[in-house]
Amino acid sequence: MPPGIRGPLAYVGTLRGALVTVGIFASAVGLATAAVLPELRSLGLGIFASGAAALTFLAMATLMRPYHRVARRTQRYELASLVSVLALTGIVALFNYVIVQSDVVADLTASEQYTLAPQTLDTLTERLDAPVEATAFIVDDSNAVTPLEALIAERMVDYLREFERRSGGRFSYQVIDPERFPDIAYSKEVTQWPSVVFENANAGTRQKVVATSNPEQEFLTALLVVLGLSQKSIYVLDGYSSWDLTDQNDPDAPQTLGFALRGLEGDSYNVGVLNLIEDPRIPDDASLIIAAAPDHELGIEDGTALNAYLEGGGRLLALLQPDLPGSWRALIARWGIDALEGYVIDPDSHVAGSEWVPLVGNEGYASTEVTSEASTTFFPSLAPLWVVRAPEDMPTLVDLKPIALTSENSFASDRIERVRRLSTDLGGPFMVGVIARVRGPVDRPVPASAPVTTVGVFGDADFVSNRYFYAFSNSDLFLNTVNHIAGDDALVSIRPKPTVFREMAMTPRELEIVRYIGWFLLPLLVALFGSAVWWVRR
Amino acid sequence: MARSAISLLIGLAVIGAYVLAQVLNEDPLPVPTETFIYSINERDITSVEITHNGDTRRFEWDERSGEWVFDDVERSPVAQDRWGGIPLLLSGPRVQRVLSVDQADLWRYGLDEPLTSIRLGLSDGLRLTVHVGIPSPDGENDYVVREGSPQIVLVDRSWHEVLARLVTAPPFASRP
Repeated sequence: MPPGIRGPLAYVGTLRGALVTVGIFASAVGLATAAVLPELRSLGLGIFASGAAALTFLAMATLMRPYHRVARRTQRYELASLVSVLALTGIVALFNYVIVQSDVVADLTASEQYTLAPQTLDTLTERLDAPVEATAFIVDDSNAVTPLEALIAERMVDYLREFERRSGGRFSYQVIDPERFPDIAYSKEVTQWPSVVFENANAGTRQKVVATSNPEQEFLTALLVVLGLSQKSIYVLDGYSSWDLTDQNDPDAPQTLGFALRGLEGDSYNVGVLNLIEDPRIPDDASLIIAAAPDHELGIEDGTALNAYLEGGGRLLALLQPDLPGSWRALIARWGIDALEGYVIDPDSHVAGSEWVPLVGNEGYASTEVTSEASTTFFPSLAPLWVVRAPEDMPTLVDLKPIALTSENSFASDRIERVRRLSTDLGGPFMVGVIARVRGPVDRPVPASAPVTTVGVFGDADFVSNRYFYAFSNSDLFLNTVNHIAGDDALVSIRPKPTVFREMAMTPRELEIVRYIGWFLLPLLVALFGSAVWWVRR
Repeated sequence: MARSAISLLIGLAVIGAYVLAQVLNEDPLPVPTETFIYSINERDITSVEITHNGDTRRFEWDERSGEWVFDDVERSPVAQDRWGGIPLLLSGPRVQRVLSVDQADLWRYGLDEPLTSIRLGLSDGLRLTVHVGIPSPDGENDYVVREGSPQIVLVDRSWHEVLARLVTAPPFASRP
């Protein structure tokens, strides 16, 4: 026998050597079996566990021996360190597995993307006055569905579980494989999956939700429908603007309202398009009219219809742009709001390098009802807004709430590219947006029993274009404003939570600070710590 | 140091045991998908009998003429442009999904009273029968069971549609 293998063989012959050999062999064979032969996974994992247990036992025994073979202190120290690192790595890996398998959920995203919105919780806890049952139709075979379908289905079930947990027993769900139980699928008229059918057990009403990337909002809408709670209608005026109202796909599209309209639908509103030029009648169910970026004049008939609607207690949200047509300027002036000429230039608070894009942070907001959830918003090419006269000189005014204000040093420039202030320029602050509640036009005496008209105005429409809608808190500001004007502060207005692209909004000064921290401060800190360690170990 | 290493090892053993118990308690793996309900050589098929909605058509391989014919008095040949791919279709329909179900649940799939039954006679004298039930709710597949098999399978609807059409619109050859 060659002398080179005599030593190892002798070691294997000892109890310790045999245990090490068997432990390593069992671990390797067990892992290989579990990986290669899925049908024998349990057996493979059992073998692996036995081998791992043997090795663990040996490692512990070695460490606990007072005078073991590794006598030198440094070697003992190294062995213990190695064992600690390996054990810790194993614990982290196994703990990760346990967490992934667990039903316990913690939403750690900054925007609370996976947490039920307060409006959903309100519906589940306060408004669910009849038992609602949901049946999720999901194919239970990983070979029969695509990874995307599986992911969507898992997300839908997660939300159903959360709905059930939060409903206090008034909402329940079951998961059915539609291919395994076609009779149930047929009875509920399900032809696509993953999908969920919501049913009001008392009223027998039913609403179906097909695979959705935004389950919370879709499920909430379905709940409301089966509970018989009506949805409000919002109409967007068409024919006064060159903006596109339909494109809900292109995230870079300027002058497109598709995302904003989808956001309104996400807040459980029925959204319709209204062309008063073709038919100057406003539907009776209109809870709010939105005029987006009007650049065509109002006509006589349609203007009359719109004024009559407002005088009858209607609600309008106007998203204006600079160079507003005179008839629109006159329309909002009747309700106390003045759209001034020019573009707002804000030297103190703007998107870096673009003084014509005022940036509004927490200090710039004025109306807490609308802006409580909003963080930063910005308004490319903003028209300056103010009031037509002092509030005390508007006897019909009920209240007037500025939504946000530009900074003290902002001014109205006649051209977007002129960012230097002239002495003739009108100085700020200006209102970025405002909501006025008025009993009749402000230039008339107070009528005896006039209904309250609500008019909201923003000096910008670009902030809700597809390109900017999901940037910062633009969408929240817009949707909150709509909720407030429509009288839905406490009602349904949950936000769709698309995958958030996190931008950082900075003024030029902040940008410089961040830049210098990255360039100098962090490397300096590393150098300091390194020097300190060297000094201590010297 | 050794104490902390031992503590970590104990922690690893505890959490490892927990994970192992979890893994062993997991649901069994799904039934692996079969590729075909059955697989035969198309040349081994000697007769085809299809019953659809109560109507039956029988076709036979005529050794003398070397072509498929209607099994009727006239023994008229089938139209080759319609029949060309039929033996291949019958040699083994591809399975979309396998369902292991209780035989008492055949009614769920319309297989207690099949919409269509296909009986194949083979050259070795064996017979092979397949029943087709209702379409799946999404309309993509049909529930199919091979007689004697404990499994129901989903097969693309086009397979059944082509075969059922042999009964609803028989492939008569146009006479010269």
